Amino acid sequence: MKIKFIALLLALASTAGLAQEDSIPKIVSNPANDFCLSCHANRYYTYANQDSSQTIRHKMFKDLIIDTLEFYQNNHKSFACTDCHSSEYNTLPHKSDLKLEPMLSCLDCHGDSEFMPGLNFQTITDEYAKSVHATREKSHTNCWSCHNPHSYRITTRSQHNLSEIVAYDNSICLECHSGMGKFDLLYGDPKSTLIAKHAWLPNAINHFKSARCIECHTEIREDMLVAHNIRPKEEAVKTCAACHSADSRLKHTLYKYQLQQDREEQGVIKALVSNRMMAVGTNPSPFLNLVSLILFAMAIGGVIIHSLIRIFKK
Amino acid sequence: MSGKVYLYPIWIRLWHITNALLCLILIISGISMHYAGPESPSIRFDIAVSMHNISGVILTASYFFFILGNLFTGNGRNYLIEFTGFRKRMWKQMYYYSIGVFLKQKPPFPIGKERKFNPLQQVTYALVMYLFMPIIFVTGWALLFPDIIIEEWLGISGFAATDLLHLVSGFFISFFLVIHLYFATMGKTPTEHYKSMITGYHEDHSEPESH
Repeated sequence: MKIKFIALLLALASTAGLAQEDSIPKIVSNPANDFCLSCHANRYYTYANQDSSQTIRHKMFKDLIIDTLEFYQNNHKSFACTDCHSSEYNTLPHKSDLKLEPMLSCLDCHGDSEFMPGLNFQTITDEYAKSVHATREKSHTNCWSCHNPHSYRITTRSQHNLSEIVAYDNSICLECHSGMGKFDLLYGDPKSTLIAKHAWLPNAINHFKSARCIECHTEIREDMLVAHNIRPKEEAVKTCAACHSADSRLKHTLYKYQLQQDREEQGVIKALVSNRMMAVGTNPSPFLNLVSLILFAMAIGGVIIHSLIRIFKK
Repeated sequence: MSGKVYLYPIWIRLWHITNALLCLILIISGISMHYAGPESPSIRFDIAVSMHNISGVILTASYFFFILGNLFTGNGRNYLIEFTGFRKRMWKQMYYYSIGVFLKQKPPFPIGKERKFNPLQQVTYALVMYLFMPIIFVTGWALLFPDIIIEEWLGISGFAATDLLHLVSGFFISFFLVIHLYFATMGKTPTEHYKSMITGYHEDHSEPESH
């Protein structure tokens, strides 16, 4: 069991005054989906064949199983199944030609710039089109490859703490790149592991816990919160100072949203102790830097003046 | 009263020079990491990290050596502050540093076998060695193993608080070093105290002067 580092925080605790929000998610189900989920939430489903009057039990194809817990926490949790799928699915058994039903793409709903303008879906689409996923793997990837519409939830624009955001977003990449799954099927490279490939990175595991893959593997744009232009591995960022510096990349990616929020909602002191930046060298407080430099200058100045008087009085 | 007094045994001198060199490496590498950047003339980040980590680990061991030395040799009594009349003694010493020294007055609390530190030294050394050093060690080791840092508590980021404590302690220790190096020049000659910390012998010149 991990030893928690509470003692050091005791001194600052009394100044915090912020109670942590209840982290247990509230699940509200949509009764309109109960009919669909009575089969699609299970590994096996049964239905009565009206022609033969028999009860049929089948194994559900795994890609058609919906995890209800994830579904009712995802971005589209308020939707009814038939908002996106044909209402003819309300009939059993489903008509076979329904499989030919064209699936909605993200832009069918999100393409309209007046709808959720802050999310900038058109820019996301344009950036994705330039990414290595789109240019090298046209037939394999689309928005849904990473953002499962039945489970995906936004973490970056949320009050989640950084490690939750990092873990969730990295899990999306690991779905294929963990070296044991789809990536191997595509490239037949079972021996390659992420740890081995990132062996050059000091404390690789800590980096994986503290930063997302996209921090180093994308081209950043200031008008996007989450970069989608995934670059080839040869273009990955490999210099420490890119993140460990005052103008850290992380301030333009991972920390960007929370820095904006902190500036808007908190004062200087509170922003200092509640800042979520975890990279050394990001210099969260220019104010403290200035104070320390002034104090140092005063000390050096005092020493010079004192020694000069000593010399003149000698 | 004058003559040579053997004030600094070999273990203190070895510890002191080790402590000084490690602190210098830690300050330089720490500042370098703090102000790192592509345009910054700092030490390469990964090299600065290694310098800082290795020196920090050795300094921790050196600190335990210092604590044990203080416990078993009686050197620790120099850090025990006598509170009766303390404020008066402090003012006396501060007066000497700010005015008396320019008037050629003799130090009010001359260094001797029975008293190695003047009251100001006592306070600053005790603060540095028994407050800021332990804080910087605990926070430094926590930053070395960030998994043990609680992520968030009552709205406070554990990492930010640990980092802040580490930086503030580092700042005070660096600040102390500047003042310490300067005050060390205030012997009979500017190099007298430096030589004492090499040879172990202190030249005892004078009786205290009252104000």
